[in-house]
Amino acid sequence: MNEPVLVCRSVKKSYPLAAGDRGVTESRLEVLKGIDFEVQAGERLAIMGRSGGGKSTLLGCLSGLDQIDSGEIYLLGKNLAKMSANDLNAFRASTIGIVFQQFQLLDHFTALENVRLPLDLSGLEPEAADAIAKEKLGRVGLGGRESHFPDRMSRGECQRVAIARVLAMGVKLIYADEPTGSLDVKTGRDVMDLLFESAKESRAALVLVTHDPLLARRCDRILRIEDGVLKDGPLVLELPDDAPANGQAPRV
Amino acid sequence: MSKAGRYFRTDLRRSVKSNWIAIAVLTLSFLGPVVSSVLRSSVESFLTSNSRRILTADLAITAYRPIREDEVDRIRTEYGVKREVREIEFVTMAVGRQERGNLLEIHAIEPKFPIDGEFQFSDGTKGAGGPVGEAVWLSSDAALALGLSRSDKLKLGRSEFTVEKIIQQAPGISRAAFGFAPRAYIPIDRASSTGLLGFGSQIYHRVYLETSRPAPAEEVKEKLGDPDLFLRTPDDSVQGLERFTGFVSLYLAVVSVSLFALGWAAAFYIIRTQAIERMRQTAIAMVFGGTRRSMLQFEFFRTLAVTVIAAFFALAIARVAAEFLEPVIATALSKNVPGIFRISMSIRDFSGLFLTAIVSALLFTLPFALRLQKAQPRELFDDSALAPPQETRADLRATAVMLVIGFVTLAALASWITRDAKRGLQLAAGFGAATFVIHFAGVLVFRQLAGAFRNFGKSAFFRLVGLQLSRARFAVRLSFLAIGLSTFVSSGVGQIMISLGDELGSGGRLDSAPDFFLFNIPESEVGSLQDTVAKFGIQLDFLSPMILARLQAKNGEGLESEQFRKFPVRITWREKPIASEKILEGDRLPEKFVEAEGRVPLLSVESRFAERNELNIGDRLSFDVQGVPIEGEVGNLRQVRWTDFNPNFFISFQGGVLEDAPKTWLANVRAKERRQRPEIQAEIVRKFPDLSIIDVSQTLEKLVALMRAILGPAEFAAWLASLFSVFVLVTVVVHSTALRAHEMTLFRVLGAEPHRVRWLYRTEFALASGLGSLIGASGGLGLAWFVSTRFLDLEFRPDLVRFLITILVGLTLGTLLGEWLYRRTSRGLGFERRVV
Repeated sequence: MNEPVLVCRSVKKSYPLAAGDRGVTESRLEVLKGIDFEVQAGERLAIMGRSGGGKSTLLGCLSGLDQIDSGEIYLLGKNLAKMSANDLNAFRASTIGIVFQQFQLLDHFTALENVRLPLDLSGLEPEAADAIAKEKLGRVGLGGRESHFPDRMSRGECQRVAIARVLAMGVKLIYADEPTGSLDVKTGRDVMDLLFESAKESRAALVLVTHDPLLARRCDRILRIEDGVLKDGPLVLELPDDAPANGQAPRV
Repeated sequence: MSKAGRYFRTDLRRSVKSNWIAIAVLTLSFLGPVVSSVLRSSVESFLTSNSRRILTADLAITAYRPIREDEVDRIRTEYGVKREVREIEFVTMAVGRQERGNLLEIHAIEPKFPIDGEFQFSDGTKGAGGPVGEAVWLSSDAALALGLSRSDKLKLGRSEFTVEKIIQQAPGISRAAFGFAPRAYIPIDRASSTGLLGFGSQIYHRVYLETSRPAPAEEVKEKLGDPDLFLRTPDDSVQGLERFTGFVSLYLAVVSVSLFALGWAAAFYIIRTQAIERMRQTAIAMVFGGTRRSMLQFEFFRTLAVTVIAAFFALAIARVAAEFLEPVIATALSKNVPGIFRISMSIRDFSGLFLTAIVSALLFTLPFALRLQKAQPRELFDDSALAPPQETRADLRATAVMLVIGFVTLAALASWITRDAKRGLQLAAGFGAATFVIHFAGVLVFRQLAGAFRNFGKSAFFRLVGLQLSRARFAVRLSFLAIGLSTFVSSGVGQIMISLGDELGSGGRLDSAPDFFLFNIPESEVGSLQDTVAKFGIQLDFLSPMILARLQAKNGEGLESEQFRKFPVRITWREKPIASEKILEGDRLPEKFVEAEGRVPLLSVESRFAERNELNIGDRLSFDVQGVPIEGEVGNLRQVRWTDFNPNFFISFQGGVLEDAPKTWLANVRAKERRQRPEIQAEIVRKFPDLSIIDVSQTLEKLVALMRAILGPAEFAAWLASLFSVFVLVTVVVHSTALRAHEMTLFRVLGAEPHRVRWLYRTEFALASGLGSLIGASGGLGLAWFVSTRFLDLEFRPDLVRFLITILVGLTLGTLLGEWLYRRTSRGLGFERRVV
């Protein structure tokens, strides 16, 4: 059996509360109360949960952007808590790609420059970085739009640029935080098709945070966050009748 | 309170910090114009209320020749003259104790002087009248310079006088503060016995009149019909002074307008950022029933509140500053101008300032209004400081409209400060041009830099820096402009000071300047004068004849210039150019004129004189030389280095034409050693009492003091502008944190190490600031070269050390700003939460 790309053990995370917040008696709000799960290479995992349930917090912890209070997170066998800030940055850039709900592109950079940014930051030679960025933009159907700025592109196109950026990073694990949250249904479906295909092609595992049960059903496995802990199964138990794209029922 | 009112109140409270920064920046930028305007109004009102005492009469008639009784009779008949006083004014060198020499402005007056005003003497007494007999009254600065006190003897020309009184303040205006020679008063009936009223001297004959009814200068001039007579009324007298105060106010206007524009830009940036952030709230308000009109009204009134509060603060600070400034200015003025000075704020100052506040509010609201007008509410939800509005054609049009309104406001403000629409427009245009050039030079340089960095050692870091700079956002552009403009002003003034210092300091051209300039040398005394100076082992340098002539016509047509009708021109002949002359156009003139049919003598004209009077090579000029008509053709145009202090002339003929004309001579004397100077001077004054001698070094010292007095505050103000630009930069950094936080987070998420981001920001700001100071300092060098060579006749000597230090300061400042921005952005809520 393959080594899991991501292992999460008893992860806890809380936030300090401002004094005087209504109805709050303790000084910290526990968001994650002990999270345990694993993600295998190439696996597609959906994490569902109610708004404010801790999905984005979990994603922040999993990517090393947020520090956990206790527990352990292993990425490709490395404990994130044991790494220095600089090592973590470099490791994250080479291991994890994140697709955000709001795309998070730099408005003063063109599409090509946005895709090339992580390659530039990794110190890749300019010619090689340009070639990879152009190829990935072509892969997401934006060949010829290299010199366009984000404010001249549609939302769907911006999300494609964000996916191209992740692909350019050549990572083993992709986190997607409500990637269709800002898109209409048709565009959202197109973007997700692209994301699933891209993850498959690059053999990257995909951790998808979503409210959308249809989207969740396209994943191999669904987990839900309730009261700060992970539980198996989707948030909405009565799933619609339409079959998942790969024809397989999700493993719960 | 209504719902809308509560909403607006909450909104104002939430943005209070930003608002206070905007108010602080605007207060500082309004302060310059309001202080300049109040000072100007106060000085104007002071001069107007004291105009008669400044002239000392209702009318003064001046001429280069004695004024005839029949000429005064005409005014007596027409305007009913109650009183009249005559005066003769000229300058001469005087020698006091221990052979201390000083140039004096001699006023030979009648005993009933002045009509309006009085003398204040050093013993505390006051009184009108004048000296009689052999008495001389000396101004305190003249007495100090000559080392004389009461009862001491003073020789003026051929006559000896006894110092009777020391004057603390003379009637009318004292020009000593402006670099003119100190005054001495002698009886008018002793003037001619000094022998200093000879041909060629600058002698002013003057009559002061008290008239029964107002005598406007133009009307009197028309009635007298003689171009030789120069008339002054109290208003003219004030206007003369206003030319000087106009110069000061122009200088204040330059500084004020620069500070205002910088502060304005910073405030615009803050309010624009606030407005973009408010778009989302506006969209929400519109969804719940708010109208575009009400949102726009709120935004305008919010901005108006900021600008009006700033205007009030500026007025309050100006009022407090006035309390401190009033006694200082009053003391300075009391030494030179009669009357009591008070600082007063006029309604014009109030209305000008509040009008500026209202226009500023309108201008600052304009981007918000344009966005609100064209966008759907849904689109407004997407607006944030992170994603500024698109640069569509409509946006560019809007920017152009704003620039036009901004320029008009700046021009109006400059006109308000200078009280001169044309000058205000020129000032605003100059400032606009400087901004335009610096900005686009920056854009060009940044783009080139991005291109150069693309493959710079295959470094991704520099590629990113180049990208960041070439897509410079408003904040970076503003920082660049602030640094560029302030460096431009401070470097320009600084470099002029350096050229001036080099010129006038040790080792400069002054070291080669003559010690004395002699003029009004009668032809009969040239030989003995040469013998006298030869005793000191020296000779008369550049001995040149001077002939008084009237320039009457050019190419057969009479000249319209009042200057030529009123004043004679001094001409000479030269067989070859002297060291301080250089022919710019045309050929060197033949040494001697050879008379041939149809040919006229050739003459050489100083290039700027030719430019001012539209004279070209080939033009024929007609002169009246002491009643003899002489014609000459312009053969060449020459540049004259006036600061060499050689006998220089605007017009010089070739030899063989003017030799028989009545003339006096000019010459330079240069002592072998410095210690010889008093001895040479005393000897010349003693032996040749009727020639005039000017101590060049002493005159230059006064000139230097005057220049330093003017340029010193200019440099101080330039540094003030630099300090203010730092304040603008700080404001920019404070308000770009949100934008940078997003960018920095993304860099970090995508793998940038913290120290790399830190260096990215340091380098970006260091380059923006360093390039700003480079372009500004280079522009400053250009300005200094232009002013030094075109206006001050100085040899331009760029100080490269200062130039490099300026750029280094810019680089350091930028690095510190980048560091500060990094730290400010890194701390706070935890950067990770901004994107995930």
